[in-house]
Amino acid sequence: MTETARKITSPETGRPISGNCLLLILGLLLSACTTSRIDVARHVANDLSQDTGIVLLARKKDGGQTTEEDFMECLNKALVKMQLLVRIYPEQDFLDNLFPWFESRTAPATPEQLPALLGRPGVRERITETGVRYIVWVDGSSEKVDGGGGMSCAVGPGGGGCFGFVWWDTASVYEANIWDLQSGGSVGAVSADASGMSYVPALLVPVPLIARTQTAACKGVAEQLREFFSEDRAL
Amino acid sequence: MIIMQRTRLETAGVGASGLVLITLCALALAVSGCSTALHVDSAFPRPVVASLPIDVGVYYDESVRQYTFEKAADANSVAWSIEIGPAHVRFFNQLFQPVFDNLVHVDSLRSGSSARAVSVVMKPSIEEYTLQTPGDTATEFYVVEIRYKLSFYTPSGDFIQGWSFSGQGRSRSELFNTDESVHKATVAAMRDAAAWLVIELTKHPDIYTQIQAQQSDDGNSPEDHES
Repeated sequence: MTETARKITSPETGRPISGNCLLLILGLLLSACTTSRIDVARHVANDLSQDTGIVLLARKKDGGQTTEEDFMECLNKALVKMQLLVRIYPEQDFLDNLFPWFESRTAPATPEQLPALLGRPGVRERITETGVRYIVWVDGSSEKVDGGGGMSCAVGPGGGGCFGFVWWDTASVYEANIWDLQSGGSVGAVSADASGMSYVPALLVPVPLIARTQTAACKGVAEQLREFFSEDRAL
Repeated sequence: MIIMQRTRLETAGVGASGLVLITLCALALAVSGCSTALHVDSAFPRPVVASLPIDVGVYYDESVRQYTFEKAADANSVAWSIEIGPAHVRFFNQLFQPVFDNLVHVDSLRSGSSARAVSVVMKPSIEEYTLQTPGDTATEFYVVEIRYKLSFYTPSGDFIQGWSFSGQGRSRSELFNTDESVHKATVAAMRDAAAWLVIELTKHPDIYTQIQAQQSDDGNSPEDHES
């Protein structure tokens, strides 16, 4: 095989494409398409400071949450890195401090239920102690939506290996609803969608090429929340 | 949160020439034939509620103190041994203490004398613990459901009424960390049940007056409530 036969050339220029370019193209192919948007945006106080607490809570049902724990971790880390004006209060500490009012079966489902909750003995006082003013309810998940292909692996005395090609599509859809505990109502919502295709080609050794849709959606939601809680937010 | 795990693998004697075979067998046992022992031990939060001005006794019998769930291995799951009794005693204490002005532990339901300084004695019990694995539900989740009964007795030990309630917890399956998933699902189920119970105990403060009235009314027979 000649050297030129081993090289991949550009169809437009006829010039060989370097290894770095191939990696770049592969990266672009694998990068998930992300769209993010602010669905509703009303009013956030203009006196935000490090004394203003926000807490990210995963919406729960049937005693568990659909949103992956690593997504919540990613979102918290991303917001901490962004150095928001507001302070992020740990989710588990908030749930424990307000037990049993934000559990799966007791958490308010709509902002209209907030005033009744805040009127219960000790609840408003405890919230004041935590310094949390905004609750960010996070809901959503990453799901495999389609897939195909096949792979077979074999092991023998001389060694083993796999041959085949498997692919699947993943869709990550997340939304965050923001409630103001002081005014007792909803102040906005943001969401981010990401989709991407993952591949595992195998010629002796399987090489997983995974589309990181969850990370893309996490960055999308975090970016929208950063904008939401920015100093010059005019709504 | 502490998890103590003990895994038992039964393997045959190891011969040097059969190292590969034994490794494969061990791998197969690890995924199919081992038993996982889990000791649930978690801190539980103190509820934010206004306490009720009532003196209550609480009695834990051996079935609660020693409760251990046992499940044999099947096509969808390894064998499980999950000890939840001691955690439940701490859990109920943590729940009841803020709800009542005065909570005392009693050693038996029957009192030798009728001079017990409480109005009501409560006896929590675990009726059933169920564990569903991702293989059972065809989902990514471990699902735990715990069914409880809280029975109310007069200070002298006569049954007044009982509340049945349950809690459900889910936790996403974690590769190579199934015990952590089951632990999380169990704690979530306990919190779920506790949320309901605390709210019910404080929602109707007059229920204790009713209970006292009921125990003094000879015409009423003991009853059971599904709550």
